[in-house]
Amino acid sequence: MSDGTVLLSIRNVGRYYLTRTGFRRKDRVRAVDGVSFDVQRGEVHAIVGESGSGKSTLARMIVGLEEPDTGNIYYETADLPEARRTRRGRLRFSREVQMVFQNPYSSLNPRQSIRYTLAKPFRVHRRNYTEDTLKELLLKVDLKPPSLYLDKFPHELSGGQRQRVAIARALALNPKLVILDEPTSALDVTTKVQILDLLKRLQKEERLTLIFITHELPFLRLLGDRLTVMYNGKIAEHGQSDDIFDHAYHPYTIGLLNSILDIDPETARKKGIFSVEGETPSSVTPPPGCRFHPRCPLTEESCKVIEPSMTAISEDHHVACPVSVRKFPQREADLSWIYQK
Amino acid sequence: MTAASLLEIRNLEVQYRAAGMEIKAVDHVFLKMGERECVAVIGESGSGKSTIANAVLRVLPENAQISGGEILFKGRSLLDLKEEEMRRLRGKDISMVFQDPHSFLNPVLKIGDQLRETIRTHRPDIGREKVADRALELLTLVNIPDPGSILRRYSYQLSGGMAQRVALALGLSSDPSLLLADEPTSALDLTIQAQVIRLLKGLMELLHLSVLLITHDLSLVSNIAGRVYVMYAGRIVEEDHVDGLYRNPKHPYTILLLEAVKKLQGLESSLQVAGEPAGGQGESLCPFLPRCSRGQPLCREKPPPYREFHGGKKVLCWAAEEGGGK
Repeated sequence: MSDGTVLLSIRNVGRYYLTRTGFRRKDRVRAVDGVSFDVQRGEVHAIVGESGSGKSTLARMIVGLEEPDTGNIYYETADLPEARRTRRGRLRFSREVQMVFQNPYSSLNPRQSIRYTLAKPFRVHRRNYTEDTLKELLLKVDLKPPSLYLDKFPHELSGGQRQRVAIARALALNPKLVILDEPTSALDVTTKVQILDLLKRLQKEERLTLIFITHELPFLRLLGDRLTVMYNGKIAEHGQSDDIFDHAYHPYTIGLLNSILDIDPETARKKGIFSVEGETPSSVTPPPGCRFHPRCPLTEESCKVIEPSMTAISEDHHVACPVSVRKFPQREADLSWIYQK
Repeated sequence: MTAASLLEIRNLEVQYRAAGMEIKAVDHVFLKMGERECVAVIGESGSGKSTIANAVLRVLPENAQISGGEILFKGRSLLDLKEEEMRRLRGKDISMVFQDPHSFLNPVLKIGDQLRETIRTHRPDIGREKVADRALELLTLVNIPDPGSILRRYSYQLSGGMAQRVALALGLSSDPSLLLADEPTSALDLTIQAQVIRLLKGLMELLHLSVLLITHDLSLVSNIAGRVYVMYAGRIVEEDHVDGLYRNPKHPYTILLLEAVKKLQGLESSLQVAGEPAGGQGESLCPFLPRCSRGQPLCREKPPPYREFHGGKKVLCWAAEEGGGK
């Protein structure tokens, strides 16, 4: 699917917020801190992380809702934040880079009909459209027959149908890159499957590049070509999805994968419930050195001092844990035993 | 199976009034659980699963009313109790843990004050020092490191996982006979979710808790529940032990749900899901009929029977057949 060329390149991106934490005291929240990775044309790139990992901030920077404080975001040959400073740039990149939000209940205007919602991108960008253009959009996202939906309002639709409308709106101007921020987290299981199937199909048909942001790791085997795992504002591991699912190296990724509960009650009883102890650290006062070290079973003295850099395991698999890479030079399928004391 | 039942719901019917219409959110619900059992009610949003828990505690919203049926707790009919008697029972014999601990905890009270207040309310006879000890003991019970310092904090200073542990400690403060847990882990991160589920499972064994678990998460059910009731559009469509449900689902909705979850976990990928989940319309015909791929002519004529199968499985369906497989 991916043709091997890079569409989006994120280089050393950081985003810091100031928060007032007490009387005359301001703290710096490091939401995203020195993150670099590439997104190839035509791939589904998933970014996984727990709340506070910085994944949504990253999405908002790519789509232009926020600007990075440090680093660069390159899209094709353009530096995105820079290019967006002109009106022409803003218009161009808001056509080419689109976003779908988590909650279709708040991302659609309740007072606007579906027709109005779908026509809006065309009006903003002064493109011609007809009734048929809008109907085609609805057909793309399987809302059939489209004439039935055009004059409805969001409250008349189910959660899944609303999310389809939000996706249709994102596709209106033929974007190249669509960022989906937890697009299925608010949906029921059966609806979730439908939306994921739809996204997969659209990605092929429309030759889209998708960045899929989620905290729901389990179903990424179904969708993601490539996976970036974030922890506390930093990248822990990234590579091909299958590689990570089968040969995770970072202790955090290993813990995360093992926290997925088994659905077979018999295996569940045998395995018991696995959990990584400890709390996700605050982004205001992240632990020194490796941010995962207070929870990590492999922690060594150096981890408490030195921030780990990314180590390449293969050309396409990078891990921010020198200890794991040193200890396990052979690729082991299952490293979950490192958590057994 | 225990002979005496702790909680028994018979033919429960709850109606909501909305936009001038009466909507049956819960209809024909029968549920039975014994002491030390963990029974799960699983369903999608709008299926009526939370309404059941709220009906047991009689904390339904204003526009909802229990329009039929009985709820027996240790043989006493809860629906016949006076509000005053119900209040004494609520939080003491039956307590509840909710999805979002931050909206459940009082933001202007310190954790210690909330715990002590709850303990005193249910046990007015015990002294000040005993109450303080009990508060510490409860936080230790739910695995909170450094409980002394947590007592002095406010809920907003706690992470989601910590807050949910505190909510659990509050729920357990009066040694309830029954704990209602409504999506206790859905708002938490994956690694924290696993911690809380592990804790809950440990507590169930340690304290011989009886838990009625309300959830949409099948993997949570498989990990801690014994028996399961599957809800769809206000009706119980299937009930069975978790193993029977997983190995041999019979209701077309249960089959769909299982395949969807398996597909999401990358275990099966042939599934095609069609249709939209229905709300509770209180139709007398099968509520799943509009989405069902196994519909028979009979389904359009008569309401489906709730038939019992081998091993205690019950299914609300015309098409379900005895025997293994799907």
